[in-house]
Amino acid sequence: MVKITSSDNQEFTIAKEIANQSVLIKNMLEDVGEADDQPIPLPNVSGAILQKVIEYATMHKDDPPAAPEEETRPKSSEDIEERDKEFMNVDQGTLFEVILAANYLDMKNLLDLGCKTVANMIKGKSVEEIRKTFNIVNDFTPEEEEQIRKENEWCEDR
Amino acid sequence: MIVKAIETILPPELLEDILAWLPSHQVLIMRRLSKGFNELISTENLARLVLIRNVCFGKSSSTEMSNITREHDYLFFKAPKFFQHAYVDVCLKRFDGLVWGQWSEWIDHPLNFTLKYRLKDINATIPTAISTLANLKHLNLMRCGLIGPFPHEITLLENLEFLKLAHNEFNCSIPENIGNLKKLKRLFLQECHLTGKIPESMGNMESIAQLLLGRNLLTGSIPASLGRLKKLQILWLAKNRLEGKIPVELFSLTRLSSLFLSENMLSGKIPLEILNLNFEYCELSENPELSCDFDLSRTMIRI
Repeated sequence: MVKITSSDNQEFTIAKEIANQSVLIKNMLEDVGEADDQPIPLPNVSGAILQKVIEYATMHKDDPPAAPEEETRPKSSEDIEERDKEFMNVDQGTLFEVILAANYLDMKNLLDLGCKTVANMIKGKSVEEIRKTFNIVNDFTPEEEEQIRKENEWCEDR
Repeated sequence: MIVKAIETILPPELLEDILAWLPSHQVLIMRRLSKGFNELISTENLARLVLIRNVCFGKSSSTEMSNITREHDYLFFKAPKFFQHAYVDVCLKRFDGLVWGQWSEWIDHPLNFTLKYRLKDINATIPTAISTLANLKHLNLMRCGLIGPFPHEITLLENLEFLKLAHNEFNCSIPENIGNLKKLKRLFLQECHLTGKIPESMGNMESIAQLLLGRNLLTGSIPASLGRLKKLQILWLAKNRLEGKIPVELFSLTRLSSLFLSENMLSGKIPLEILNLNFEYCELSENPELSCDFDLSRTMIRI
C-alpha cells in the first residue's frame, strides 16, 4: 500500500497498482524505494480532487495496457466510455481541477478524458455561447472583432 | 459566487490540449473569443496539434491525395497562413503528387461539416506555403475556382513534372521565372484568364512535352526561345491575343506534332520550314493577317 497526502493534509492509503497509474507517483516510489512508508506529499492537489482521481484510478485499475497508437483514423473527443462520461458529470470547477491534477500527476488517460470533456462542451457552440459557458471576457474592440470575423467568414456557421 | 474565466484556471498548454480535440474550423472560429485565445490559436504549433488529431494518417506509403479528408483540402486554401504552413508540414509533405478539385461534390455531401459553400464563392489563392513542398512532382489544381495572384512560389518547386492549373481565374500574368521548372513535362494553363506576355524563360523548360496556354488573354509575340524546347510535342496557344510573326525556330522542333495557334492576331508569312515537320494537327486559322505563299493542301496544316 502507498500513502499520499493532499494539499489540505488529507491522507489516503491506496494500493500500489492504483498509485502507479500516476507517472509522477510511480517515479517517486521508485526513487524513495520500498522500505520508506512516509506518505508522498502532493501539494498541488486538494483532498476532494485527490478523492476523485483515486476513484478514476480504481475504476481503471484492471484496464489492459494501452494499445500502440492507432494511426489509421483521426482521434475523436467522442470516444469516451460510458462510465467515464458519468465520472466526468461534475461541475466546471471540479472538471478543471481534475484536469490540472491529471496533468500534475501525469495521468495521460485522465488528462485526455478531461480535455475531451471540455472540448465536447465547446463543440457546436457559437462564439457567444462559448464565452458564456467559460466566462471568457471579450476584450476586443468592435473593429478588432470585426476584422477576425471577416478573416473567419469562410469557416463560421451561416 | 464569482466564476473564474477558463484561461485564468488552465495554463496555455492545457488549453491547447483541449483545443486540439476540436475540429479545425471550430478552433479557428474561437480566435474571436478574446485576445488571449486569438494569440493562443494563431500559432503554427497549435495548428499542428489540431491537424495531427484531426487528419487520418494511413499507414500506407501511398503518395496519393485520397486519404486526406476533403474538409481539410478546403481549409488549406482558406485558413490563415499559420494554419497553411502547419497543414503543409503535417499533411502534405509526404506526398509527391497532389490533386485537388471537384470540390462541389463533397461540399454538398451531408456527411461533410455543415458549412455550405459554392464553388464560385471559394475565391481562394494558392497558398504560398506550397513552395516548401520541395519534392512535389505532380500538382493538379484544375477547376478549383482559384483567383490570382498567380503564386510565384510555384516556380520554386524545381522537381515538378506535371503542373496542371487550367480552368481557374488568375487574372494576372505568368511568372517571369517559370522557366526555372526544368523538369516540367506538362504545363496546363489553358482557360486561366492569364494576361501579359509568354515569358522568354519558358525556353528553359527543357523537359516540356505539352505546353497548353490556350484560351487566355496573352499578348505580345511568341518567344523565339520556345524553339529550344527539343522535347515539345504539343503547343497550344490558340484563342489568345498574340501578334507578330510565327518564329521560324518552332519548326526545328522535330517532335512537335500538334500546333494550335488559331484565333490570335499573328501576322506575316508562314515560314517554308513548317513543311519540315510531320504534324498530326496544325491549326493556324483565324489569324487575319497571316499569309502563306506556298501550297498547304496536301498537309495537315489548316489556315
